[in-house]
Amino acid sequence: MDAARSVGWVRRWVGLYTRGLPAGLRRDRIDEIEDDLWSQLHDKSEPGGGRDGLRGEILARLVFGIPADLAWRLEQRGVSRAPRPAPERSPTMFARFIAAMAIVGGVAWAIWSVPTAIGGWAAWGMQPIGYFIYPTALLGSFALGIATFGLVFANIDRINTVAGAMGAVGGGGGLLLTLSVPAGIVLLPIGSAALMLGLLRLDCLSGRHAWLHAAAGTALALSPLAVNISYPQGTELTLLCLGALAYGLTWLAIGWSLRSGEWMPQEPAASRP
Amino acid sequence: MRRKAGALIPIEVSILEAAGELRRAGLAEVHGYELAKVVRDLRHARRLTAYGTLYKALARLEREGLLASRWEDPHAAADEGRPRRRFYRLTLEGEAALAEVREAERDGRTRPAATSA
Repeated sequence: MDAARSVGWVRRWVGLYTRGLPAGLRRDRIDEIEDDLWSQLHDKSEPGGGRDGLRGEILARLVFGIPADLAWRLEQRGVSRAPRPAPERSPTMFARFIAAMAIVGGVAWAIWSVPTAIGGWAAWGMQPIGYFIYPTALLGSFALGIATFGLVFANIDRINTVAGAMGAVGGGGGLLLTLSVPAGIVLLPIGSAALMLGLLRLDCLSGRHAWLHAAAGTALALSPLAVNISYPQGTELTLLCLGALAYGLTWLAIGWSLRSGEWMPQEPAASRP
Repeated sequence: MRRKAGALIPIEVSILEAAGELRRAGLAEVHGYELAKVVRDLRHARRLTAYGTLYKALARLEREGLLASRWEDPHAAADEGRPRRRFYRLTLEGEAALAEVREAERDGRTRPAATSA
């Protein structure tokens, strides 16, 4: 194990015990430890005992500090739970647009999935309902693709690389669905599920929203369409539609929770002394 | 055991002493890692103070008014290619508490409470 791995353990631990704290408090603690790590790694005045000595020192500082970290975290409970003044919300047009896309997409997916579950593909040919299902499915897929891309773009500087890349794949999946490419129904939910879990780590989403979305997305992607990707029938189609309904509803909930724009990254210097 | 409100524990006294040492050396403001090194030397310890212990103590000393801190301009840190830094300085209350500790140690008493803060 080298010093970089010890540093990684420290970062993981700090990320874990600061989870759920107000964003500013959490950022301050993370930055302070980051600076300490950086200073130690770049300190040429220290004899150090070589890289082995350094990795042991970092690991020891981590381990021996855990009780104090936990005590500090407990002290912050009051800070986390105290009634906070309403945050200064800055719902930019972009944040509102993303939330609107998520809501529109979620509603549209709920709309197309219910009649399809009941009437099968035949419902798409029934008039007048068929006039609505097809454009609604296309519109919903487009909106979810845009919302997914938008969430990646809005958090590009801070989101985990894997979650960001998966989000881009998901956004692409939504646009593929708009072009009636069936593979999109696997790519969109898998990609958006990974993205939402990435946003959870950034405290942009509640755990409930993120995990429900991830579960619904995974269920949808693993539904029979993943095996019979063209046009499933019968039970397979019903399962697919139920998955799509759940998935759409989680998008609706996420869009609703994001509509204030509070989750958008803020200028770090603006809120600090 | 719950500690008495305002009482200083050894690591906090060491941090105040380190901040005082560094101020005498011309560094009025220092970041956590610098303090950790001086604390290690003052205590003749083999290792630097653990992250959790150090930053919890710094937070408490600041809350008590014995240290004050400020975040540096993030652009300055970015220019040097490192994370932004929090600088601590010993306050007048901190100096008084430290003087009180030293006096108490000279008198052979136990460490006093930081009531002046």
